[in-house]
Amino acid sequence: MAQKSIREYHAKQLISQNLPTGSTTWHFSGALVSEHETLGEIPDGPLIVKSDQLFGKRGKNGLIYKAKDKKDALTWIDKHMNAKTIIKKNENDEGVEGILTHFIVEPYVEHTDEYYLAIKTSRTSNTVYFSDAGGMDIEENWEQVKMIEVPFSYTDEYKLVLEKELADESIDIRTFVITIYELFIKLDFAYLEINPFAISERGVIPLDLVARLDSTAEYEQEASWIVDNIPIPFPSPFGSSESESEIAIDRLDAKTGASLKLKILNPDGRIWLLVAGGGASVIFADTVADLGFVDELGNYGEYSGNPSTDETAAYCTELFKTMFASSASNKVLIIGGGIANFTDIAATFKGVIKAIQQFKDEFIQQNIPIHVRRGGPRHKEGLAEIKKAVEAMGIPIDVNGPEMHMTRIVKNVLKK
Amino acid sequence: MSLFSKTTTAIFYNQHPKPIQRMLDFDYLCKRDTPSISAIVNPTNSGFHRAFFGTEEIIIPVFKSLEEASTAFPESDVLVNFASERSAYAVSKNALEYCPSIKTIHIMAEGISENKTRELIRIAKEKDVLLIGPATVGGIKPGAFRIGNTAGSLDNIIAAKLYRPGSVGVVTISGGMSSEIYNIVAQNTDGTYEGIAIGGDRFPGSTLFENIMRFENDREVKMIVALGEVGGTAELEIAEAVTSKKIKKPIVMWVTGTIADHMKTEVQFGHAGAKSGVENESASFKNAALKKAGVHVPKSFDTFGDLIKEVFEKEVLTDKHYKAPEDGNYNQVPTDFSAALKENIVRKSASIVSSISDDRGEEPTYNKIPISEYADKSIGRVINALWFKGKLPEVGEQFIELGIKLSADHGPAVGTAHNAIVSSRAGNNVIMSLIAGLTTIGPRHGGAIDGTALWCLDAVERDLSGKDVIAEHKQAGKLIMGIGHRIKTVQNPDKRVEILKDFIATNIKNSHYFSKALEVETETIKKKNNLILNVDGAIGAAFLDILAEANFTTDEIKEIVSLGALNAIFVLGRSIGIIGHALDQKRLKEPMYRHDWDDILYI
Repeated sequence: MAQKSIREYHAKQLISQNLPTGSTTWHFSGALVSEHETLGEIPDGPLIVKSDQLFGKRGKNGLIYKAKDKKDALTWIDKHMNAKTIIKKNENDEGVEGILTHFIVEPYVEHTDEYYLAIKTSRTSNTVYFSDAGGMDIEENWEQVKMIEVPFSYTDEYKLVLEKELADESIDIRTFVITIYELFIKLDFAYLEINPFAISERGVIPLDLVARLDSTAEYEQEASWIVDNIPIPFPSPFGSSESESEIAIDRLDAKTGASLKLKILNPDGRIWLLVAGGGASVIFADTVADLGFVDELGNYGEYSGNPSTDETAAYCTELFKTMFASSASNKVLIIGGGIANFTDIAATFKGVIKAIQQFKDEFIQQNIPIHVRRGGPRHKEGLAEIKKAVEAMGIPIDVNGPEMHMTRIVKNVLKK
Repeated sequence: MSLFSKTTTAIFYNQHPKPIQRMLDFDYLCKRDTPSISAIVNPTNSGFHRAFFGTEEIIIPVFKSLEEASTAFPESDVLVNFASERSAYAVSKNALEYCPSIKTIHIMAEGISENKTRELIRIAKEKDVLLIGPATVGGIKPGAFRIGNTAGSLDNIIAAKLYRPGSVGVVTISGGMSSEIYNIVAQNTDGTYEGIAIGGDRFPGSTLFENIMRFENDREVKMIVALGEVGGTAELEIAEAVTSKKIKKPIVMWVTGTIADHMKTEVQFGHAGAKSGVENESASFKNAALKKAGVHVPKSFDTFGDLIKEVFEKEVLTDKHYKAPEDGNYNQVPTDFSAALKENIVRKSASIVSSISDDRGEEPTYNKIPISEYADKSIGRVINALWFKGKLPEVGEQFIELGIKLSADHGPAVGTAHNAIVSSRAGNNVIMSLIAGLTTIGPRHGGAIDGTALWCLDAVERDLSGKDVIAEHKQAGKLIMGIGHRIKTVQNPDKRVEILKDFIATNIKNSHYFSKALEVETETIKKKNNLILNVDGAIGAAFLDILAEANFTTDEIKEIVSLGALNAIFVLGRSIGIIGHALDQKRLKEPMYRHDWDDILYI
C-alpha cells in the first residue's frame, strides 16, 4: 500500500462527482476510450483527445490532439491505439517504451488565461502551489508560482490560510482552490496537479490533471473511490507491461491477506530471488546490484505476511516458470530472508518444498543449484527439512541460518 | 531518555493471547520482577485474561475501554496497540486525547490513511507523546521491555543478546528487518541498547531522525545503527544534523533500495513509503549524502556488519569511559506444552479418547468421512457413523429412520410430552423443556425397547419357547416388556407394528428374534386380546434381527443393547416430539400450568 497513480479520467470523474452542490466548477463530461470502452454519450463538437496512461509531457510527445468532432477523434485514436511509443521526459532522456491503450476525450474548451494548481503532502502540512501563469511552460515560469504552506489538520484552519493567501485572486479562483483542497483531504488524495485550469462560460475547468491516491486509505474510501460503478483501478506505470507470471501474482496478492509481489527485471536473467519480507527482499536485490551483477538479476519479489503453504507454493510456481524460461546458462536460485519475527519458517518452507518437488525435473535438467539463508521461529526445523527434501530430489542445495550474515549468501554465490 | 525501563508497564489494546504471552515471556526471560502488561482492553469483553509469567499462571484485568484501563493503571505509560486497521486510528486518538498518562503509543495496524496518521502526529506533538508506527512490530528495550512480537522467538532474542542492554541505539524503518539488525548488532558490538522499528508508511508517527535524536541525548547510547529506505527525504534530515553537529555520536547507516536506480519504471517496494522514481529520494542519493555528512555508510548491505564492528571498535571501545555491559544471564522460559508437543520433546497420556469423529483437519469427520459427504445421505447414515461406527448395513439405517419416525410423538398425554408442556409453560426455553421431557423416559416409559431386546436375546440363546418365557416372567413376578397396549387389540391391530412386521418380512431372511417375540405374543393374546406386541417391543426385537443379519455376533449384539443404543433410537425420535410440544405451547401463549385441585387426592 502506498501512493498510487490513477488515470486523469478517473481523477476528473472522482472530483466532479464529489463537488458540493451549487459549485460553479465544471461538470465533467469526458470519456475514457480503450479497446473495451468507446466514446459513449459525449456531445459532438470540437474535442480534445489525450493519452491517459500516467505519463506527463504528452504535448511534447505528440499525444494531445484537437479533434473537429467525434468521428475525427475516433479516427485519431484508431491510428494510435496499440501503437508502440517511446515517451521522453526531456530531449536527453532515452525514454520508456510502451504501448498506447487508453485515451481521455473531452469537449474542447475555449479559454484565454491558464492557471496552475498543485497540492503536495508533507509530514505536517500540505503545500498548495498556485500560479496564474500555468500551462506547458510552467517549469520555465516557476518563480511566478506561489507556494502556500497549509498546516495539516482536520479542522477548517485551511480556509483562513487560503482565503488570506489568495485574497488578490477572483472569487471564482479562490473558491475553486478551496473546493479542490477540501476534496483533496476528503478523498485522501496524495498528490494533485492541475495544469492548467481555465475559466470559461461552463465554470472553472481543470484542463490537464495528474493525481495520486493514498492507497493506505483504500479501506476507508471503499464507497467513494468508485467511478462508472467500479472501484477506481490503479494501472501500472507506462512501459511496465506485465508478464503472465506477474499478472498471476498480482491476482494472488489481491486475494490473500499476505503480501506477494513479483517484478521481472530481466526475463533472461541468471540470478533468481525468492525472498521473504518487504525489507529483506529489497536488500537482496540491492546486494546483487551493489556487487555488480544487476544485469544478470532476473527478478525482484517478496512473499510475506504469513502466506499459507498453498499460497507460498503458488508464488514459487510462477517464479520458477519464469526462471526456467530464461535463456541464461548457469542459473542460480537464492531462497533468502532475514530473521522473521513470527512467521513459522518450517511451515512456509513446506510450500517452497512442494513447488520445488513439482519442478524437480526442470531443476535437474537445467542444473540450477539452490542457496538458502533464513532465520526466525522454527528455522532449524525448516532449514533441515528443505535440505533433506531437496537433496533427496538430487538438486544441489546449501542451507544457512542466522549465523551467516543475511546477504553473504549473495556474495558467496556470485563471487564463485 | 529511554522510553522503557525494567518497571515500565503497558496497556495492551485487543485481547491477542499470543503477543501478550510473548511480552510476558520476554519479561520473565530478562528477570523482570513483574509482568510488563498491567491491563488489556477488549471492547467486547471485560473480566480477566489468563497468561503465564514463567511457570506461574497469572490474571491480567480486561477493560472494555481504554479510558477505564488507563484510569485504573495511571502508572502505565505505554499503549501497545493491536487494534485493526478499522479502529487503530480511533483508539490512538482516544489515547492522545483522554489518557494523559500514556506517553508512548505503538500502532501495529497497516492501512491507516496518511491524513489520519498526520492528524495523530499533530496531536501527539501537541501532547508530547511519542508514536511508534503505524504498520510496525514496534520496538524493544533489551533487558526491560518488549512491544508485542518485536525480535521474534525467544531463541532469536537469546541469540541477539536482547535479554540485557548493550550500548547501541538501533532504529530501522522495516519491522521485518529489525530482528536481523539486532542480530547483526549483537554479532559486531556489545549489543542493542534500544531498538525501534518506525514502520514503512510515508509519514511514520516518529521518524528515523526523531529516534536518532533521542539516542543522541541518551548518555547510555554510545553509537547508533540505522537502516533507511528508498523514498522520502527523512534520511537527508539526518545528514544535515550530522553536518551541523547536532548529532555527534557515531552513526552507521545504510539506505536500502539501491536496486531502484536500475529500474526504468517506478516500482513500489514492500513498504508504502518506499517508492522509486524521485532522484533526491533515491537510496544511492541518500547514501551519498549521509556519507558526505560524516555518517559511516558501507559499500553495500553486505559489509554493513563489518563496518558496524569497525566503528564500534574504533569509536566506542577506545573511549576511556567505556564500560562493557555485564553479560548477565537470563531465566529459561518454560516451553508451552503445545510447542513442545510440536517439537516431539514431551508426551502425555490423553484425558479423553474418541473414536467416532475428528475436528482437527480442514473439515470435521464422522467416522473418518468428511461431514460434507453426508450432505446427500440419509440421517440414518449419520447415526450409523456416530453410534455404530458405520458397521450397520443400509437396511439398518433405514430401520433406524423408521424407528425415529414411529416414535417421534405419541400425543400430549404421555410423560415426555406432558413434562415438556409444563416446563415450556413455566417460561423455560426449548433446551430446558426438552430436558424436562427426556427425564420421564425410564424403564416404564420408552425403556421397553431395551427390555424386549434383552428377553428376546435370552430366549433365543437358551432356546426357550414362548410359553417358557411367560412362565419364567411369571415366576420372577415381572411384566413382559414390549407386550400390551392400552387401546389396540388383536382385532384392532397397531398399524405401526404392522409396518415393522412388513419391514422385517421384506428385509430379513431369518428373523429369529422377531419370530420369538411373536411366539410370545401368540401366548399372551390367549389371555387378553390387548396383550399384543407393542411398537417399542417390535422395534427392540426387530433391531436384533437386523444386527444378526449383518453378522454381528451375539456378544456384539449384547454389547450394543447394554450400551443403550436401542433405547437411544426412542430418545432421539421422541426428542422431535418433545421439541414440538415445547414450541407449540409458546406459540399458543399458554400461561403457567397449574394442576387442578379436583384432580389431586389429598389424604
